[in-house]
Amino acid sequence: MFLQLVTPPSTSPAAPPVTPAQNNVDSLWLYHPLQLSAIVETMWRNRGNAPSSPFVAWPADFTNLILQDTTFYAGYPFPNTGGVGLPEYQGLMPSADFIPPSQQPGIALISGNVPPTNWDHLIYAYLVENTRIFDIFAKVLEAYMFSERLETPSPATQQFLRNTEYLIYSDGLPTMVWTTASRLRRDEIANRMTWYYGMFGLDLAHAQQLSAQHPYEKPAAANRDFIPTFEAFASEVWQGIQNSKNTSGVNTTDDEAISTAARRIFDMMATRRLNGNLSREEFRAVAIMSWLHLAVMYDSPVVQDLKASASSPEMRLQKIAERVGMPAHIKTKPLLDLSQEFSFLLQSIETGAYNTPGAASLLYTLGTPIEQSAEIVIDQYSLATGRNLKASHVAVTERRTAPRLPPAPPARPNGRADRPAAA
Amino acid sequence: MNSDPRHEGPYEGKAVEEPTGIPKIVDEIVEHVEAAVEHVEHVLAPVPADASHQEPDEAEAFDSLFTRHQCEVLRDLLRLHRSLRGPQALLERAGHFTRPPFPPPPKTSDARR
Repeated sequence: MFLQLVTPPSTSPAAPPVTPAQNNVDSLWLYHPLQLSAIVETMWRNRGNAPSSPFVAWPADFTNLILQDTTFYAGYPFPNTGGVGLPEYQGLMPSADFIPPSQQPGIALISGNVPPTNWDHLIYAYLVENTRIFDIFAKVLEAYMFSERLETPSPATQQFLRNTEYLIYSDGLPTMVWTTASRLRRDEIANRMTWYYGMFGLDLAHAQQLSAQHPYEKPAAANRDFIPTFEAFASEVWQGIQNSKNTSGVNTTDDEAISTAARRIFDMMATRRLNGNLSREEFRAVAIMSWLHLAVMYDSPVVQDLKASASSPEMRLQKIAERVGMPAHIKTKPLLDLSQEFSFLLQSIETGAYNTPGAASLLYTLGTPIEQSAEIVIDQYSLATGRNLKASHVAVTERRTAPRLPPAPPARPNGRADRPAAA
Repeated sequence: MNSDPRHEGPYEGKAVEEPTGIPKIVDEIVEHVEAAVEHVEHVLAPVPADASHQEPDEAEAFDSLFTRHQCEVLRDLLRLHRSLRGPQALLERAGHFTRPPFPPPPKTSDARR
């Protein structure tokens, strides 16, 4: 969710961005929690699929008032220049210009029109959380709060830690749409594991370690068939991709099989989501994980303060984990690489686009962005799970039993006849 | 007797090509229909997701490969893909997120002290 907030519409390599997303993220860390809350509510209100989920956000007049307010001051400098407020970003922006909340690309008006927003699928949150990023940052916060084991954080990092602690690791304001914890469901980690199980029939990789501290309930109605169905779908799509690359031989592509599997996934997801069910929970989970994901997408202030600068998100996370004495998931790279593409693939399946064989060829026609995305999912899924979706189908049948033969006669030494036994 | 002059003379008894030129009135009808269709699409088409930002029509390159229905689905899916604004590799290539320079720049003599 925060990823879509900070990234400008065009990501075409041909057109360099006017304001890089990194600059927007640097600004994002510095906002007041109330500004961030207004952003969250605005993102929800502007969602492109509003009719599918009935929950109402804060009123636009209210959020606009907060987002456009320019008096979020850090305070006043006394005594020399009394009366002039210090802006909230005073001396904190690492580079370029501070971007006010209302100018973040995801919510900034375009020619006076409200742009529709979108965010990732719950599978994104599941995959990112599997890296243990949530637990690692919890440890980082603990280390900063209760010890001086780590170096004193810079002012920019302190702003980040404040927002992370009170927005991500706390209960939200009761009136906010993303508040999904209450006295009845206090444990947000356990809640998320319940949703993951309901939607995908999956536990987190480190669920055994978590379940002692966060016991959770596995819902009776869960999509337990999701993984076998998805693997059948992906395997059929791979057949199509393979045959698109072939110039001769048998074409085993089966559009009917692709659409049948897609339809099953569509129905599973639609059943869990009836009447906007789980939509707020998904929003919250995705928002939390995208916030933490953004923090390791580049050498952000907290990454630099933790001496975790690196060349890729997984290496940064690994180094942060080492600083607080924890391991990150060893498959962090494929999990992160898979997260955004898998999110798109599942959303596209949920549009119903592949429910009929007619559009199945979009998934494997070489060169289309859809095919490229599907291929990344198939590759990264295999790397992350160790289950090769490209392997040929092997039918499991009953073991063939050998025909019964009469018992072999006893061996006789050559040239000697058996003698009758002596009476 | 055949009254069509094309069936007489050197063409008699042979397959005759249709005239290649399109009468002007047909051209006018086509233009009229195209203009009407264009007008209807303009009225009914939803506002693009990012109205001020002219997205490149990536689907255009595949118009010859797919049917009209498939092209429509492809355009919808590409719009969905853009709305998710990722993935990381694409963002990095587009200059949204930087990696540390490699090899690292040489340190100045002041920094070594």
